Amino acid sequence: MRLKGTTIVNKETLELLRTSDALIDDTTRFVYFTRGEEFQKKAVSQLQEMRDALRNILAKEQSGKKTCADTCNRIYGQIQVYRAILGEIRMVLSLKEGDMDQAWDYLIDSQMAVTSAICAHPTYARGEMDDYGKRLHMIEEVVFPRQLFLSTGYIVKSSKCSVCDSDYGECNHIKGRVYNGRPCCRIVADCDISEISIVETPANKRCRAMHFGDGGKTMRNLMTWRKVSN
Amino acid sequence: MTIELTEPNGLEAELASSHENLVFFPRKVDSNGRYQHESSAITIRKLLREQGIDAEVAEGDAGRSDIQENAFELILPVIFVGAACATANPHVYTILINVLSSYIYDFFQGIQDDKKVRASFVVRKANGQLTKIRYSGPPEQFKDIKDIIEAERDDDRE
Repeated sequence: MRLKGTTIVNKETLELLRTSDALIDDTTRFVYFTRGEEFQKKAVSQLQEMRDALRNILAKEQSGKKTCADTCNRIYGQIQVYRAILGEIRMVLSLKEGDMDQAWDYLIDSQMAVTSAICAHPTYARGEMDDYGKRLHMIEEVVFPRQLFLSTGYIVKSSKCSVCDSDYGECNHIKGRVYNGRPCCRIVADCDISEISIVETPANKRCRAMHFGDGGKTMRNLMTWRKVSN
Repeated sequence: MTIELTEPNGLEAELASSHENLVFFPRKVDSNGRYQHESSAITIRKLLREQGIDAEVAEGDAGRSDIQENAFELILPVIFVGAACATANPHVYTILINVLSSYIYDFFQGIQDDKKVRASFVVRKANGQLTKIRYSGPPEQFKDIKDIIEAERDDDRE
């Protein structure tokens, strides 16, 4: 049984991936600012429900006797696509509610999810997700003002692998790759902070200045320009 | 894109003279004598191992640690290929550049912002002198550094 370049053995998994593909088509029509909030809220709950179902089927596949790495990575990638769409719709809802800082965080989460999907499985490494990433980048530039990003520099004394929990330098897992639906990250176990810098392109765009002072008493929110209390 | 040719610093020259294999040199040494490496060094060592190439991450008397900077710029370790490694595997530079290029591609997959790579190689010329080649620029042009490395290694051979 094949689904867009993936061989799926488990019927339940195949069916869920098919249904989830259809739901993506149904819900992406609500990512636009002009759509009614009632539809967007309904889309959010549908997406959350399906994302949870995908998480459950992934856990099932991972614990099965014959774990198929390709299937697990495909499901993990699909979960990331859901995370991306959820983030985008939530961003729009937050903008409508006037919570601009929250909207920014949702947008960045959506962008990060697109990157995770692309790294997870070849299905998502093709043009469609890259175009989606470009679209989100465009939203960042058009909807939000330029941000002042910060980057933390630190000295890592020891780190662990998120896949096997051993010292990252000792195992064979590669940071950024996905193994049986589990992303490999380098978890810093011990470090010394060395500096905080202002940078143009940070690794984490949620790491940003939120307020600024004019040297006097006034503090303003960098996103809304509104005065904030000290 | 910029490619600069300079002399290696004292520590790099010292390490080059005492290593015959593929080695990653540190960016700096802390006050305790611990070598501080780019955080990409360990991952690249693993990727090279997948291709059957052993790389060593140089350690000081007090061991080593990694510098993690969270700006979206990929900084590769300073790489030195010793004589024994180059003799045992004449294609080591080709494999090395391919592994690094593939790592760079994966690292920036899905990223829409400006992408920048910094990489350095310490190369021993045919006359025994050392030279340091520093690349700074977009990921797409990184492969160009291979020709510069080859040219430097062949320098004086004619």
